[in-house]
Amino acid sequence: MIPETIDNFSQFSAALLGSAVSGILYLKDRRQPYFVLICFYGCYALASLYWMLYTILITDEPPMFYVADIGWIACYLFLYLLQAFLSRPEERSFRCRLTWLAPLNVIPLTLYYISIGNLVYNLIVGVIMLLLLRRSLRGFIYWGGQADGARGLRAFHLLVIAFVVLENCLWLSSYPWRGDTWSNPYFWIDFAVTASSVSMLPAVRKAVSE
Amino acid sequence: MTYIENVFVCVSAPLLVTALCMGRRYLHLFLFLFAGMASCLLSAYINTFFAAVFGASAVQATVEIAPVVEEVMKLLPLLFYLLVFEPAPEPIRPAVLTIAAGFATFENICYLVQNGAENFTFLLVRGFGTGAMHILCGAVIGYGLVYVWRRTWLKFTGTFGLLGVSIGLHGIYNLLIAYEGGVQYVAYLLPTVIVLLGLLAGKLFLPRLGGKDV
Repeated sequence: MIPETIDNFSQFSAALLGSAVSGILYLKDRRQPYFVLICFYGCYALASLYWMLYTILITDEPPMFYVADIGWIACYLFLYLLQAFLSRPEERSFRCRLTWLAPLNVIPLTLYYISIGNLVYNLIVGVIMLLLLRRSLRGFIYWGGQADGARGLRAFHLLVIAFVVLENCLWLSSYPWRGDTWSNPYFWIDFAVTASSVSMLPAVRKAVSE
Repeated sequence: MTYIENVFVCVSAPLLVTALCMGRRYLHLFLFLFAGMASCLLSAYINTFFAAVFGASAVQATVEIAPVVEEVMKLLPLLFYLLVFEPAPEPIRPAVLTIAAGFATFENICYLVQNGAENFTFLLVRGFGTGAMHILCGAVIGYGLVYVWRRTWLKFTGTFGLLGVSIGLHGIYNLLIAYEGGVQYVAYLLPTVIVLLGLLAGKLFLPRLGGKDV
């Protein structure tokens, strides 16, 4: 119970902090990527808070429907929107075979999640993860090949790739459940997910200023 | 058994007569109020239906089914208004807040019918808490929609995201309520405090931004 609470609390605090800092940046610069970033962190914080309270307060009944999942789906959608907003026209028209890595990785994993979990939720998340990974792979490869490559955008795309990969590692490590102890890799991967999501803030700031 | 539809008729009838007497200028205000109360009525039916289908306990229905159903139901009349009438940004906020107020009022009436009205202090705190929570969720949706519906690329994602935020807020509130004891009062006070802070922040920051929409 304690590792899970610490994990959830750290995630909630990090997302809340990210939301507050993005809010300040938006009020200062009035740039729309910061507004989308507020929404991303805000949804993340609310979903984390709901889940943390659920695990603390409701101990005698297993969850029937995960309300926090709606918040997490909303936050993935905002991340996709942020990607769309930060990408440039030349990047969007760039074609590269390596982007096929996205469906090659995400589709088998989604089928596995569906086989052990909820069809609708896993299908929605699978599609969003596929879109996120494909777009970030394309952006990362494109900006990597440019001599005067936008470093902020490249870092942002790399962080989104890391975020998607870590989320999948997190879901894989959650089944079968290895108990509420620090030896469970789930908690360490979740800390890494939190770190990757927090790191997006400076990357977006750099990308916006470029 | 609570004959909730009878309660709805009794509450709506005098309001409907008033709406007709006050003329077209105020008609939309009453229509949004009716829409909010009707959403609450339908939410009660849908909540009961899903609770029966999934075999949910009272706690599960409160913390897992109700937030989703109620927030979606509250959004539907607003979506209808936005899609059919395509209003300017100004009337969207009053519309969503009136729908939320109608919803909260009817929910409070149903609570009184079911649980009695003896404990004044508790009902006072609960009344403000529930009202503030629905207004808070309505404000999130209302202020957010004004922003996202002006931008085509934000419409779908933004609306779903705002729904996610309001479901999250509502879920957290219901979670704390379901736990009962002292935590329940935290739930009642939290939305009231957030609404007051929001009003204060609006007074402080909006003039500095030159009255621009945030």
